[in-house]
This record gives sequence, C-alpha cells and structure tokens, in this order.
Amino acid sequence: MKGVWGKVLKVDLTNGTCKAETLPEQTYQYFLGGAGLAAYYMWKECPAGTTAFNPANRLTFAGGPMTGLKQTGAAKWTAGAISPAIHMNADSAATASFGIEMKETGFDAIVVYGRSPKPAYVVVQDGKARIKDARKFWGKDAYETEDGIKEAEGDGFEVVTIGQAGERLVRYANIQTHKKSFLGRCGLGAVMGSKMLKGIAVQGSQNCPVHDAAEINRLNKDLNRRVAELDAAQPEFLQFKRLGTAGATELFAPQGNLPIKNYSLARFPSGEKNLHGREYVRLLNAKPWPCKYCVMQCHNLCEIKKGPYAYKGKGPEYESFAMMGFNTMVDDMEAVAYACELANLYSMDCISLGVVIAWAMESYEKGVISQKDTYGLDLKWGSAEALVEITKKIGERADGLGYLLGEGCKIASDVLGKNSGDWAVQMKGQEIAAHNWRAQYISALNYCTGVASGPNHERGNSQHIWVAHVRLPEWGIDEVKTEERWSWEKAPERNAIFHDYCNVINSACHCKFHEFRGYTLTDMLNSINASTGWGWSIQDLRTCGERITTLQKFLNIRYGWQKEHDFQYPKRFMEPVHEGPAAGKIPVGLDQAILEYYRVREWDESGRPTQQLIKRLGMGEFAGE
Amino acid sequence: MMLAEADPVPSMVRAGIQSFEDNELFKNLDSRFSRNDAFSHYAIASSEGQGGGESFRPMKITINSVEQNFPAGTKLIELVIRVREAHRDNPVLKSLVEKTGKDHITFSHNRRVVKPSEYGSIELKEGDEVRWMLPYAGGS
Repeated sequence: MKGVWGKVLKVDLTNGTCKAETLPEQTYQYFLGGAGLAAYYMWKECPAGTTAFNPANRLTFAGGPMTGLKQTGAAKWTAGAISPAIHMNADSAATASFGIEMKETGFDAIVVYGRSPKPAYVVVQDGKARIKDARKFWGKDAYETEDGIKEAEGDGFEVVTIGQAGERLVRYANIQTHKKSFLGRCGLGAVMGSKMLKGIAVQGSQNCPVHDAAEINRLNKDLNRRVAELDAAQPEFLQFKRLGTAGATELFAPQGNLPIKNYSLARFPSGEKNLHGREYVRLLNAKPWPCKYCVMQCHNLCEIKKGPYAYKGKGPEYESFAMMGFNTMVDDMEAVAYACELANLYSMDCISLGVVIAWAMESYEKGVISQKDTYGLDLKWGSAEALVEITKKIGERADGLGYLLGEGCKIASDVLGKNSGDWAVQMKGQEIAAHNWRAQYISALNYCTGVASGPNHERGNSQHIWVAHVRLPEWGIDEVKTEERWSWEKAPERNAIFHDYCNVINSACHCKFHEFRGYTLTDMLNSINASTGWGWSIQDLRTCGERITTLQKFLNIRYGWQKEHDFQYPKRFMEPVHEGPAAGKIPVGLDQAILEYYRVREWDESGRPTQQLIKRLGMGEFAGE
Repeated sequence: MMLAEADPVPSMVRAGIQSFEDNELFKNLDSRFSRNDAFSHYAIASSEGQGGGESFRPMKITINSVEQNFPAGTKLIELVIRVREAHRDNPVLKSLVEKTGKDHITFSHNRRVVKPSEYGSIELKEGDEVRWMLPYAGGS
C-alpha cells in the first residue's frame, strides 16, 4: 500500500491497552481516511443504541492519503464520533501539525474507546503507545494542559487537549491543538471528556511510502507557487496571509450573508465599521501563524497589549467573530477576540457559543430570563461585559444558567419553555453557522440535509457557490445564473455535489480554503493518485464521495435519524429581514427541495438509500442495521 | 490597440458608463463572439458577415477548467472585459469598486497571475489555460 500505512492504533481506555490493527486497501479506496475512516469505525464498532457519552462510542482521529505530502493545505486532519449535540455520527477537522505528526508515528488513525477510571492522556511515539496519568492536568484549561503534556513528554510532540468545558461535558465542547486549531463543531471535546481523556501526544519519524515522489514534488512546487501568487495578488484587506478569514465581513455584508442579532436583522452599521478586517489587523496586531507547509497562512497570532481584554494568542476566525460579535451585537473588536480566546481556553465551539449567547440575550430581552438568572449580569444586546462573563459561566458550567446554556439552545429552550424555542436557531440540536440562508437558499437546504455532522456549513459548503464563487466544473458545477441564488433551480443537485466534495476533502485530508485560491478537484485527484498509485479518474473521486456520504447516511439511520428531523428547521428560517440585499428573502419551497434532494441522491421518499444506489456503489455490506 | 490606462474598466464604471457597448474596445468584441447564458462559455460566431469577412480558425483554451473554442488571435483583455461585464451587477464587486476603485478580479494565464497592465499584451494560443477568480477572503 502506498500513501497510507494500512494500520490504525486502537486505544482501550477501560482496560488500559493499546494495540495496532491493520486495514485492507479496499477500506481506504472506499473511504480514503479522515472523515471516511471515522465513519467506518463507527459503522464497524458502534451498534445502534450507542450514545455520545457511552464508553462504546469510538472517537477516531485520522489523516488521509494527502497527509504528509508537504503540499500547501495538506496539514488537515479529521476526528469523528457520535456527537452529544446531534446524537448521530459527526466529524470535525483541524490543522496545525498534529495530523502530520500522527501519520509519522506509523498509524493512519487513532481510535479511542472505553472510559479511563481516572483522568488520562495517551502518548504515541513511533509505533508505540502508552496511557498515562493526567490527574495533574484535570481542571486546567486546554492550553495549560498542552504546555504541561509537552513539558512532561519532551520536545517534538504535537498534542490535542480539552479544557474544562470538555471535562464538564458542554455539548459543544471542542478539541484544540497547538493553541490555534480546533475540531470545532459537534461536541467532540465532550466525548473526549466523557472518556476521562485529557489529551493525546504524538511524535514520529516515519515517512509513509508514496507511489510517485517525484510527481508529488512537481505538483507541490506548482501548487504552492500558484496558491501563494493568487493570495498575494489580492488587495491587502482580502489576503488570507494578512487577515485570515476575518476579511470575509467586507464581502459578506453586501450579500446579506452575515448573522446579526440572532439572525433577526440585516444591518449592523457599527459592527460593519468596528469589526472590519482593517480593524482586526490594527487592533489585534495580527500576524500570520501558519500551519505546516501552508502558503495561505490564514491563522493569525494576535496581541492586545493593554486593557481589560489584553491577551496574546489565536485571532478569531470569521465564524467566531461573526457569531460572538455580529450575532450578539457586540461591536467591540477587542472584547469579541478576548471572548473567543476564552472559549478556546475552556474548549468551546465559538459558533455554537455565539448562537447560544444570542439566544440567551433574546430570551432576556423578551423576559423569559431575568437578571436573577444571569448572575446579576445585564445580558442585553451589545454588552461586551455580558458576552465575556457569560462565556466564563458556561465554560465553568456554573450552576444555573451557565450550566443550562452549556446544553445548547435546543435543550435550554425545551427546559425554559415560554416559546423560547421560536428563537433557537438550531437543527437536530446543533446551532446554525454564520452563513445566512436568506443570502442563498441553498444554505437552508444544506443545513436541513447534511449527513456528515448535522447542520454544518463546511459539510456541504454550497454557500460558497455564491459567497465565494467556488465552482466544481469537473463535477458539473460551472457557471450559474444570479437568479438561481434565490430559487431551487439546480439547488438539490448542487447541494449533493458539495456534500460529496466536502467528504472527499475531509477524508483525503486537505484544506478546503485552498478552493478560494484556485485549487481544483483535478489538483486533488492528481495528488491522491501520486500518493497512492490508484490511477483514479475524476468520476472515481466523486464515487468515493458518494460512498462516504452514503455510509454516513446509514449511520444517521442507525443512531435514530427520522425523516421528520430534516424538516424541523428553525422558525427563523421563514422570518424575513426587511432591509439589505436579502430583504424579503425566505426559502419558501424548502420542503419540496428536501424531497428533490432525496431523489437526486437516489434515496427513496423516506430519505433512505435505495437498493439501486447501494448496488451501484458496491455497499451491500454496509447497508444492514 | 492602446489602452487609455492599464486597467480601464473601473474608470469606465466610475465615469458612469452604463453600457460597455459605448466603449470602442467592446464594439470589436461583439463581432467575434456570441454569448450564451453561461457567460464564460464563448461560442465562435458564425463567419458570415463577421469581422469584415474574416474566417476564424478556432483554438482550444481552458477557462476555469472548462475547455472552449476561441477565434485565433483572441487577446486576454477581451476575456477580461467580458468577465467584468458579466459581473457588473455583483453587489460585492460594486461595493469594492465604490470603496477602492477596483473590482479586484484576478486573472491568471498558464498558471501565472497577470498584472492588469499586461492584459492587453497577451495573445492567447492553442492550449492556453486562463483562470479568473472573484475576490474572496474566507468565511469559515
């Protein structure tokens, strides 16, 4: 086998054992790695009835055939498990160097299960693994834990950790690495916490053999240069290297794509002014903080030198400060950045956190909760103090509201009642991300029908057809007409293509942001073929994407998905805004579009894969309950 | 053909020219291309009555991964103007032109980014690859 080891590490925390397991090449040809491999292990080892916090849940950390190719964007890796937010299979991706280092230990993936009797961390070093005592780290934040593990284990380790929110099972707790990259969505940090697992450290020196090293070198030189050149050709306020994704607000505001005031408003002038990309650089002193081998360098190291929000660390991404800033009406850049970094320390997903806090602010405005519930905080829209303080309460799982908000806005609104579910912008238990369905209807369809991680803007990122002009001509998405943005014309088919596309990228393990700088499906295909020698065609790549999506669908069904779940979208989906570029736009016809999506996917009317599809994809073995 | 400045299109927008047909450069383009709904697909115009009776030898050019036929002698600037015209109602680009004076669409030719001052000097050849990209900064 080339491009992958054919070997994974199985860690049993209950019994304290670690052992290697081999996989046949066909598994990789079917599911690649990354998200596909995580889904495979859930299919193989998590029967129906397995829940997120059950020790039987498999938390899989996996790279893919592109991991370690030294190509820009090939630092990406993925983890997956049954999620405590959506109660179904989910995966999330991160970068920095953990995935590359993990592959250099001689394993394609680390599959963790069971529950340790006491806090533990796992050390994997060149084919060997040990489970070690983490009691001295328990109760510490995620960054302090990373520092502590690195100090304990020595130089050269890459580490993933959780903070207090993960330990205390906040349903949207994340997992961090290198203090700058996060497995953000779906609460994988809480799964880790439920296993009493505080961190994993990896260090390796083995280079996985590839099929054609010379071709990989040639591809890398061309792609690295091309991507860097395209980024450098942009004006400074749009360069990834300068601003990361923070520059997106400049482009999203005129499209009506921003989430403002719990998705109830179209404009936020002071936010657009103060949360602008240029302010980001000026106030946060942003400097590039690249992932290994990456020429786009979108991560930022920021520093606020003085004042109540002084910190040095990760600068917030677009989604983070859109949700924590625009969505809560806090227009103080420093406060928003500081609150995001607090969330990182506790290990909480800023997208869900921002939606939950906005829900709480709206609940406060409407009198569902009062100051006696909010620890004396005036939880009004735009309050920087409230944003920061309530973030701490949630991360600490403080008694009362802090604890409840850590359950997500679905459970919180179920508990509080008083129609507060009407403004809970979530589906299937997970909060909606910062791409507004009013700006392009396909976003609504994506949120309803995603199978990889519930409603997720990057598991199916079809909004990028419109907000970023991404095209996939090799798979049939070429030019589009403006009027299609607010229609269902071709939306089901395009949505399906983007679902498969995201699955392929997250399973081969490459960074989707490169699509914004001219990286194509053909580029990815050439890289996968040079790594593995499989000689795939562009259609083979699509078929692989379909297989991963179909496997995830089988898992959805196994863990309790019902057709009606796809139609339980937030009430806010059908509430228009009255000004701005998306004024009056609501996705009427969404129900029919969902049914058409089923048809396009070769699923039956109940939303289940047909026998015809199962046969075409050769997935009979995976179809049983 | 000499251009008034390196990148004439935004100045035309600023000057309030509503129709590119007002522009001398553009008048010559229409006779060479017919435009279908997918604006980046250019079909070769019928040679009848076109361009003073010239016959066009088609050449294959790849535009954003899609291979298309173009008349021999097509210059990059002609594609640039077409792409910009097709996007002139794009709210993002209008906002950028208003704030910065430029639309910031990037063009690359044979995998090299092309400076606006060079658009007029590049004549496309059989097998060339052109890629254009709307400004984008990120969003995840």
